[in-house]
Amino acid sequence: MRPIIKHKVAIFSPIGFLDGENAPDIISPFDVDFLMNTKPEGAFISLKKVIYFNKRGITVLIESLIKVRDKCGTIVGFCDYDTKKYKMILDMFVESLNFSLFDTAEIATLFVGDDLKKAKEKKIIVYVEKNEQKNQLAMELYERGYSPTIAKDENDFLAKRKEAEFVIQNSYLGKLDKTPTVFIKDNVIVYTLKGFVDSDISKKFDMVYHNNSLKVGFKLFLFDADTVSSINVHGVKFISKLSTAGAEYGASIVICGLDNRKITKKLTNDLEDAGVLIYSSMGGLFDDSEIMKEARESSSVAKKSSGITKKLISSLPTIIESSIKTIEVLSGYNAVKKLIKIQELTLEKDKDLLSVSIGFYGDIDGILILVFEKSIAKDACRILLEEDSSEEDLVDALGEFTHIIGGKISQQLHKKGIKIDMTMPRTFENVEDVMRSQKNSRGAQVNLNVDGRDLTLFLTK
Amino acid sequence: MLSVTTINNYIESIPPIPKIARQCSEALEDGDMVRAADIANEDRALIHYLQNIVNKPIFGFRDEIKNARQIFGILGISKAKQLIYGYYLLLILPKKWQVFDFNSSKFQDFQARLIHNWGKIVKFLGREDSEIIPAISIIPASLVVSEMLFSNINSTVQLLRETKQLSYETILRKMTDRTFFEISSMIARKWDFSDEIVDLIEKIGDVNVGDFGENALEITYLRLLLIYEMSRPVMVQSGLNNLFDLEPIFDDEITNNFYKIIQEN
Repeated sequence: MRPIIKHKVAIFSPIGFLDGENAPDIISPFDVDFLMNTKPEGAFISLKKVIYFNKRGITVLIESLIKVRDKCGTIVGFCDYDTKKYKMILDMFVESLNFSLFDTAEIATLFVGDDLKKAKEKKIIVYVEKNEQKNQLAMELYERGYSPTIAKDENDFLAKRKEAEFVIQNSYLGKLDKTPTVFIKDNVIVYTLKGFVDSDISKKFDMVYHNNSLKVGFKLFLFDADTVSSINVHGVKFISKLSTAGAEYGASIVICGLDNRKITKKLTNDLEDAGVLIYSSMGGLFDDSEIMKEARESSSVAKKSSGITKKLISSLPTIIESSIKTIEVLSGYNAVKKLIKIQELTLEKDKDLLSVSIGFYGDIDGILILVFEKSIAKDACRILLEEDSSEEDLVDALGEFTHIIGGKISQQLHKKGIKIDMTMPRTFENVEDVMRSQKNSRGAQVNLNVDGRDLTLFLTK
Repeated sequence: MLSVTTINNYIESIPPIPKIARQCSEALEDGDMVRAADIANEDRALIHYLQNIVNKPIFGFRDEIKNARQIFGILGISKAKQLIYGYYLLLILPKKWQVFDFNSSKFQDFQARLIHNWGKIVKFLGREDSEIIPAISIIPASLVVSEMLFSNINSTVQLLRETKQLSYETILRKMTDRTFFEISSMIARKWDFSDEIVDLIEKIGDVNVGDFGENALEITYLRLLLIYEMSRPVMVQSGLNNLFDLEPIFDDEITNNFYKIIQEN
């Protein structure tokens, strides 16, 4: 069973009965290999739709995930259960609970993964019977930038839980050996380092994620070494190499939280020589308006050159047809081509538009931008949206929708012997941002009419 | 995109029940097993199907059962009806499965397991003679419907499912406002099943756990059986385990009873 991976967290969602007979097929050796290659920060089994499980089934599943943890440092465990299931798992592993448990998949992503959007605004309440666990959960949340409310006792919990969006009551932090973890703050990719930073960093660091982030256009990458014990020459070499490689994309590597107990003067100089920016604390970086301006102005996608190429134009029909087919299947409307022209991105600014871009690289490199009228975005994404979805959900769903289009393009090009990989999609809430990102850049613009509304595809390099 | 028109066209394309199978069903309805068996013996394909299912290991017969009289005699009227209804589904079985890693042999194994385990459940419930019991045989139609409807948009749906954990049922409902069980009940209606059976099939897939009246317990167990069977290794491997969006039943007593019944030989 292939897990769904979102924000660096993989979720398996088995259904029905979970026992020793079917567990080896729910997380197969193939799935374990897949996880080892994708290196998610967390991998969990959702018990939401499981109505019966026994110890054999649970053990087989968690043992598969522990293999991934041992190789990649992935945090593993279960989520989406009620109090009864939680207690059953605790009873089953009374002497050997070495994995994590989270009330829900959403709560798991508070602790793991790179989705730290609006962290301060999230209303979280923590109430766990054992004080030690309660404090550990709260500390971890604080470290990740949340401001949870900690209930003193049951009465306090009952009084405050109504206002909370996230109620952490039956969660348990197992082995959290997550170095380095990653999250995004104010357009800065933040890698958190812990303990000793040595040659192991090159094994655990998710290079694919980093390269994707570069390709998508992130310009600032911060290594937070606040809780690092020490960093040796191998750790320094690794970070220096990232700095040199990032320069090609105009990206900067920053490290903060180092002092002379953690790193020698010579190694500090080596970092500086490689172009790594050194700040005493994370706050220092985020207070530096000049460098933060650079992070905010990062373009939608990284560009080593601009303009469309002949190679890209030859793949244009496949890219357009794949995009149109996916839009038609998922929206239920026919998409009719109104215009195909090589030009700069031209949009009607007065319309209510949502934009998303996805980059691809491999045998051909390029960027596909889709600009939707909001109402058609809603229709196109309706399969991905719940009935009471917010504007933010729509923007997320549009990213997922574009990811599906990217997958379709990749499949179709593969049939023609062209291999490409896709970056993660990037969404824009206002049309000016996407226009700015493509300033002076020519590409193939395709204007579509979808049920009387406009949808623009723009393919460039 | 799937639409109601796609579904209606599909239902229209389903062939009527062959004359012999229909006569056999009518004889069983009349309680005349001998006549039913003699009619069945006239259709080689039907006999082959019956032999194939009944001689599967799950039924546990030591000696090979060869003719219709033996088959119906050993199984009794209720299971004989279930087998004949199960045979109807061969009419709509795809030659090649594209969406799911499944085939005709696995499909018949699934039918056999469903009939056998349902037999154990209705015995436990003391409802062996209920009119609605043979309805179980039409449920596997949902698997076929899913394969047929999604085969044209399979690659897009696979990409969709890699992005979001959606069951095929949810995708179908969001695209057409129909469930697999509603479509299966349309097939049952086309094949002139009784209103009671058509209604029951529709209710199994009802996303809102509603008032199921006098058949409530049977429907609860039937849902559990489906959830159980859909989570078996062969279904996980085939991708069919993500077909339905049945609302799980969190009743410890019923679930534990169910698991006990199923695990008994």
